[in-house]
Amino acid sequence: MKSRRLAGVPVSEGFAIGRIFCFVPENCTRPCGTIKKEESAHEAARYIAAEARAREELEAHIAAFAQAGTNQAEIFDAHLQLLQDPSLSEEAVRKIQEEQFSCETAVWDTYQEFIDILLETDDPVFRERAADLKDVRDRILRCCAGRPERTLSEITAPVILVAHDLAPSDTACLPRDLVMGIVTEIGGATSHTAILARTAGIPAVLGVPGALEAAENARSLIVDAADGAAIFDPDEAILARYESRLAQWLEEKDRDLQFLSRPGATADGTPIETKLNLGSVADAHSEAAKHADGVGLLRTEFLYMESNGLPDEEHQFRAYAEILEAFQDRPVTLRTLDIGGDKKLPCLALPEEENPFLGLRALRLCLEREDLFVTQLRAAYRASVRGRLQIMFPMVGSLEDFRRAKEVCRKVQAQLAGEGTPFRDDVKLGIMIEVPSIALMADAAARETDFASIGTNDLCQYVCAADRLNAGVSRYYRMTDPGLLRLIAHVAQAYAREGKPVSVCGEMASDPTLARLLIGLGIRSLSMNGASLGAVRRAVSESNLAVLEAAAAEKIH
Amino acid sequence: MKTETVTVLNPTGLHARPASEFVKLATKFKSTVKVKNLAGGKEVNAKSIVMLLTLALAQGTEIQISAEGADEAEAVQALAALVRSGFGEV
Repeated sequence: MKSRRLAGVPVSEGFAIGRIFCFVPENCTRPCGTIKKEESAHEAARYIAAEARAREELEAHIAAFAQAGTNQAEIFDAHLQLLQDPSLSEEAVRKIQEEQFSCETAVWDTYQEFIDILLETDDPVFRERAADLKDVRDRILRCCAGRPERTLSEITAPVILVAHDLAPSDTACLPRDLVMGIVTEIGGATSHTAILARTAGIPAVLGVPGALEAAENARSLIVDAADGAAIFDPDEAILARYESRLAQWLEEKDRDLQFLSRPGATADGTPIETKLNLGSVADAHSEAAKHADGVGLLRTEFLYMESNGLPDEEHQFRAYAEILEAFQDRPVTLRTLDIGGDKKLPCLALPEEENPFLGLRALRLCLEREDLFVTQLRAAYRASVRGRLQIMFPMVGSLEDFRRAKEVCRKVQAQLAGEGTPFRDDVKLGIMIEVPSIALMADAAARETDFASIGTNDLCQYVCAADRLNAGVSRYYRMTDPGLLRLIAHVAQAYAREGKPVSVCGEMASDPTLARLLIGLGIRSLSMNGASLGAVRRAVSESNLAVLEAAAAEKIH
Repeated sequence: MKTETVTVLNPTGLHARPASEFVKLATKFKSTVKVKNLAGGKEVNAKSIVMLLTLALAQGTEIQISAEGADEAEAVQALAALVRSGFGEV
């Protein structure tokens, strides 16, 4: 048995090693059947009977989930509503009686008409409904043939699931404690399979063409959701390597989980807020996201880099809404477009600059291109009703910058109010502190802004006059530079005096050692990438504030 | 026949869960119930979830709810109130 490595899109974290379970449900293609006119009454009766059987199946699923106390029954509620939709059943019967199609063909064509309409749009909600319609259609067709339902609840031992695709009703029945990994031939990071994999913490790699064929000829499988690979019948060397990676990952998960689920505080009980930096909608559903105190930095550039054109208001609104809902009443700090400098956008023709880091980027660009700014702010304020939104402006160099940005916010709110579009009027406005001029004016900034977040990556660059992307001057780009540390301490004290929150969202916050230094300098709130949350909380819990303060004082002496 | 005009208030429009709730309520009444998108003029059976979805009723759209039958007054009143409530999203 030769080892085969197939690549795909990793949609969740971790590794799995084990036996394979191939899930091959009914192969559904359009059945071509016609009937004679005399048979139409009988055929219509066949349809009614199949619909009734399908209804019983769905009601049984709903009852089973109601007992289990989960809300997975929602999928089956939705399917039941589709099944009972008068437009669908009346049309199917009409096709049988007036066009002499067989029951199966009538069902297929009726459902396909609506599936086609829904798939015409880009709206992900509609596309999910199309998946639901296909699921219900296939169920009725199976009931027409009198075949029993094949579900994933057939799985009785720990396995790795391989399939062409998983329908919503399949994933609803998936035994989460027995499925160690998932590989499908189609699907991506936003499919319902991906969502399930992340929610249930199952390593999954989707979009692996040829996986089923490889699986049918193989005995064992490794799922690598770090690199995005499915390795069939691995040889001993590869197997040994992955066994140790798996063991390590499980150990880290376990260790981090202990700290992830505890609130962050030092050993002497000083509360330290630990939040997440997010760079995608998917991040909002990660394991770390469930335990973080909120989102300290929502980078919005991904929305502008994903598509070929500029993301419109609707697209942005949906992304922000989904993230706000995922965090419920925990605050989400949205940073407005921070583009320019090293971050380029193919769809925006920005003039070439000699010194992009010192140029027309981020907030400066947004104030210049107010159309971009207004679109983003409209989407953000509209989404504000879904959770606790805060808005933060990047590359603020003076309070004048902040006031100009606030003015645009006021304009947008007035616009929305005039349209009768709801938004929250308690959205806090804050600034990134990364330009030295505003850092030095921290006391004035603390009086006027609602909060701030120190972007240590860029602040270090500007303060130490060293390009962080230039390897030739890397020795001058030091995050422990005493000048930088003094400035951070100054900002922390200024905001503390005004009773306003300040956090650090740069890379320093993700490093356990540097995080402790920041706390010693007066910072009480950190925002970091998800992978670091457990490790940083652990480092914080093992620290004593007095000790950290003494150590920090020495560094800025 | 009774009719009433309302505006779709909730941010996601009449999609997904709100659409489901709307149809569930409409189905409870004996009268035939229809929904018309006043912008496009298209009118569909309010008891059909797929037809409602094809109307693509976004936030801010004005719709006309009409009912014909024994309980037409209650039907229109209840459905209009549900839309006005914003489905708990506003």
